[in-house]
Amino acid sequence: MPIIVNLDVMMAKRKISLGELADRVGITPANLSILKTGKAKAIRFSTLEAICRELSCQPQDILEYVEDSLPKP
Amino acid sequence: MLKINKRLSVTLSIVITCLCIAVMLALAVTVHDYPRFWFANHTVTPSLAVMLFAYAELLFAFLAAGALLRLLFHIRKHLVFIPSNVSCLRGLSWCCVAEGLLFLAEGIVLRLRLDRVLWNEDMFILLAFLIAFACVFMGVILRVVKNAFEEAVALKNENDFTI
Repeated sequence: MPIIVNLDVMMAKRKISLGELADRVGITPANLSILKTGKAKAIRFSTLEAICRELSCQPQDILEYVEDSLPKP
Repeated sequence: MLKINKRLSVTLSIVITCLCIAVMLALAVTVHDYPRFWFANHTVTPSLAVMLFAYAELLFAFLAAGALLRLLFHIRKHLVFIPSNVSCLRGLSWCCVAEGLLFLAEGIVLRLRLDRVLWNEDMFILLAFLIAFACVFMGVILRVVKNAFEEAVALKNENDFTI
């Protein structure tokens, strides 16, 4: 998928665990894990806002666009 | 209109399906003696072809009932939009189409007089064709419902992975 989630990098920089961040953001650790591992298909703005607030970062610190390596038809 | 709660509604559907299975079992046991049990005709026994068609139709009916029960038990556990239920609906639609084709074949066989059935022949043939059409149409309806369920499963998947 072209959108890479770098949540684990930011969590390591801020030295915060998955459970603690999930609790502060207001989502379950399971859902945060889905986001962290790149399995999520979409993210709500409210969730992104809460994550950025708790990690004191910008959306581009968490989300990265990488062009697909496959050739276009 | 009488409205009952969801759980009771599903239970009622399960009970009705089980009653239908019981009726099908009774038919399976008495198929060799249809005229005596169902038409009070003591002089005629159904031919081998009619009996074979009847058993084949009952087989698909049992398969359909099994798929229906599986679907109902999933719904009872609040598992509605799952791939397994899509498979159940697909199976149900194919069973209905198969039943329709069997009834059509039975009607054609009797119409061509390849097999002699001496009781209420014309009515039986007409009934076979009508049932064939009804079964195939039901199969088409179930196929459309299956398509809708497939879309719902995809939407639910999308929603479940929206954080």
